Amino acid sequence: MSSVSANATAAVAMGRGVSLTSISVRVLSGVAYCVSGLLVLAILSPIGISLWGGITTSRAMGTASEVGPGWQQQAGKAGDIFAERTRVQTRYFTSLWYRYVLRVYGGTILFTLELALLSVVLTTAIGVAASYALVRYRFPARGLIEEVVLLPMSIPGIAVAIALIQAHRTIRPFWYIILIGHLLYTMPFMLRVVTNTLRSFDFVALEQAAASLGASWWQRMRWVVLPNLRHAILVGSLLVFAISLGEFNASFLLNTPTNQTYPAALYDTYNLDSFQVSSAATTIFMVMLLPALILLQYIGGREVGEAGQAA
Amino acid sequence: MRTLLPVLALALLGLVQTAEATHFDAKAQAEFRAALEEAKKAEGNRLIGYDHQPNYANWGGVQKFFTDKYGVIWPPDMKSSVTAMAALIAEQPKPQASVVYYNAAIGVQAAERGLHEPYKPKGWELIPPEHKDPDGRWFNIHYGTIAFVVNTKALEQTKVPVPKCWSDLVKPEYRNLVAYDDPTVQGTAFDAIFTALWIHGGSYDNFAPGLEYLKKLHPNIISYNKETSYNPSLRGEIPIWIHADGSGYKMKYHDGGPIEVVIPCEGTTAFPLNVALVRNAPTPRLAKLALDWLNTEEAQRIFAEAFFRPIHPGALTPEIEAKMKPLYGSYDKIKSYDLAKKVKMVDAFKKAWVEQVRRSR
Amino acid sequence: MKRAFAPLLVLPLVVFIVVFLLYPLAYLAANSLVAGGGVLEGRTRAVGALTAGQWWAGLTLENYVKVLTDRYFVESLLHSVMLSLGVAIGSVLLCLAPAWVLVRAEFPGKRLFRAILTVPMAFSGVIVGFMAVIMLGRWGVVPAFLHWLTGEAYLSMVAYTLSGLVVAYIYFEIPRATLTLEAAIRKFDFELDAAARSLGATLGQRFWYVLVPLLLPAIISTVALAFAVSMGSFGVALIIAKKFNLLPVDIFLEITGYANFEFASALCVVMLVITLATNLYLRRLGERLYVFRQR
Repeated sequence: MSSVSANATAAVAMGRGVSLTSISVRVLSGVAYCVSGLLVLAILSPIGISLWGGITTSRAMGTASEVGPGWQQQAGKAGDIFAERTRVQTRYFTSLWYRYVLRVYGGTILFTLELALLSVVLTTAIGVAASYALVRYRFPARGLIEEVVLLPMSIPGIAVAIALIQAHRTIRPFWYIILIGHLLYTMPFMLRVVTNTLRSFDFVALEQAAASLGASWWQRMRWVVLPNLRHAILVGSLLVFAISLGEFNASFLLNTPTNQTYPAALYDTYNLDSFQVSSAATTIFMVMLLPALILLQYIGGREVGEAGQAA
Repeated sequence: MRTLLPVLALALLGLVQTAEATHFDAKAQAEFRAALEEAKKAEGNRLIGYDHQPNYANWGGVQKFFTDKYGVIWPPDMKSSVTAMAALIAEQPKPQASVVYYNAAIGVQAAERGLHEPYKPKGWELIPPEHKDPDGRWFNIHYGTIAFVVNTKALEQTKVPVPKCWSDLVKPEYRNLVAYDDPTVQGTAFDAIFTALWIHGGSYDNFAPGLEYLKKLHPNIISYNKETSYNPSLRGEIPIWIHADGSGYKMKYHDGGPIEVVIPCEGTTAFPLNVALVRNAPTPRLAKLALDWLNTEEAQRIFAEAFFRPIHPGALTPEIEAKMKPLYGSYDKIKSYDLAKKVKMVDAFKKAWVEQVRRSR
Repeated sequence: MKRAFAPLLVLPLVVFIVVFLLYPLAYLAANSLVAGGGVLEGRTRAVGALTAGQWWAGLTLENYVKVLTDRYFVESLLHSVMLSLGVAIGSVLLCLAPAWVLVRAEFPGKRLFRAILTVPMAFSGVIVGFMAVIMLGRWGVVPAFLHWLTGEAYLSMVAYTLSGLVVAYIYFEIPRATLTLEAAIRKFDFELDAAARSLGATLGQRFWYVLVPLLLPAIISTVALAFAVSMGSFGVALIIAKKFNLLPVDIFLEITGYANFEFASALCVVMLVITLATNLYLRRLGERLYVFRQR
């Protein structure tokens, strides 16, 4: 049988001080290290290139039209309509692209940040309350509610957006339809993080103990339950913030002519603008996102890994 | 029979002014500003329109000029002609835009579907009858000509010569070098396929010659972009783009790209573009004033800077005219057609294109 | 607060879900059952302009028939499903490597390594598409580098082909796949592996009969989630799926280009059903396998 021969080979090899199987393991580990290294390179290089692109004066990646409304001096007047473009700061670097992006899309950036913060506040308020009720009390359809809340994670964003546009025509022209889309996609995360935490420690017993000592419901919430949820709420908020910033699938269709989210603006720059401007816009997005991601890494851990994500 | 040929010939020669510029003199401007202030008080200072692509016909420049001079924010909009019409249809009865711009054939379709509010801007009498709807549901503001926009630097790398004729494009050496946008969504691209039909002897009911040609062209096409291919063409990702001549000249002179415009040797067609007031517009007063302004020489001159021929021929200065020289071909070979009859066959032709060309193997 | 009132805390959530998720989905399904027609067919009807009576009278399955018989849409459907499945499986296989490294190896900068691996997680699909274009587009960095190296610009324009799509999709599956696999491998009891080795199992046997079965539930649930995300991923498709028809882009075109809401709703329902069904099936499969192996 092969195991016998393998045993024998291994025994013979071990006699020589080297195990045959450990060679294959070494080779496999080597492969694993190489693949991981390549992955890191693959992840970092586009980021590095767009960081460079955002500040470079080189005309790499071909030209693109920069005669959009953000650039042009008064049309119809003689003069260098590219005056601004040529006003570079050093031979190799310029802040021109960032200034352009901030000028044209500054409002969009603020709007996206507002939406993200609103999503955090609303998911915390609604989600924590709901998680408490779901874990603490038994009532019919408890499991069903959780499943349904998680539904948007498995539904393509465009389908949700189309459903919302058709079913709620009256609120379609307003910005809060985008907020609703964001809430649909961020609520599952907040809910999951908080319910996982609530289920991980026996908070029912704690609460009952407090009740037996004469604490009112509100006192129990304030001194027993919520302090224990601080970490979960923080992790959840960061997740919600990050997801709301990057949400594109549903937001793209829900955008209105006057209100646009930043990922949709990014898409516009990819179509309309040069590589330099697009890189600057992308870098700004990463800068908006990075604090949340870093914080998540430091305080998150387990929950972040287990939470899925809607891209 | 209303044909564009006499109008075009006259416009090109510039000898007879078929449409005088409304004299947008100081008095008229003052009146306009006053009316605008009134409208701003009533409706706010934001005007939303559909299909104002910044790189198309210099809408970017036009809107920026309007905002800088008159203080009304008029943001760009990336919808194409058909997409704008679809948005208006979907949003009834409360559309989000007040003004809309289209490829003329699509604009007439939209008017027929009742999406526009009739409005005759100031200076209506001066617009030639071929360029406006008798009931005021739309009016043309400028027109372009279908041409090949060639990125010479990209072509050099592939070592094929610059094409001169429609028949050149179907040759095997142009494989994966040609493109036109998706004609079911982009108005100018529809005119590209219409031109192919017209040049090869098709008619309003006989699509076969055009479809034949387009089927032969299909293997050489890179892709049918649903968004405009302005930047890919400028960048060289699309060496030969069948589009409006104005876009090519703009790339060459404003963006400094290695672009040349070629008018095909067998001929081509010109296509007008129109604007309209949207029915149930959210800001109708601002929209009407904007439409008035689009019909003035001030606005027409700015459009002319992007090399789209304005309806007011005086707005096309000789300097700009001098720059509109194609590398090959000339503007004599423009074939005319009847806009009303063209509008009737738009959908049928598009569907035939989808079935026979887009989905062909 | 009385105990009877406390469950009411769940009410805002329930109301939100019913009004903004369940009702719209039901509306979507309902609207897919009436005849549509787009701009090319002369449509003038606005969205949702049907009364209940008109809807009942106009019930028809023609949208679904069109989806399932028109070769173009069947192709889009197959493309989306095959692509998503391939990406899901491929990313899991690929991420076994970094997951294993995260669990078994110790080296300085390991925390940084993990942080880098989770960066793509929050990127929007459009950004991933943009990165694919700057790396593998016509003027991409990789072709430029290869051109400098060998004089021939290999891999130019790959971003717009199937391989480019796969690479881009895998890019943003990497974090999730890695973290889930890492969590699963961490739970794996290496004593079992040592026991197997002591019984004489070869590396291959240990892999197939010990490691994989215990990891399978995690692998399957990752595949399920990755499949769902890839199916719905629209930003990447918009930027680089130029020659390749994919379902989300078709839906987008039907809505914005042709205003054919009814047909787009039918496409959405089909996509929904496929995604949910696959998700459910894979989850059940994972659970069953887990239980089976426990026995």
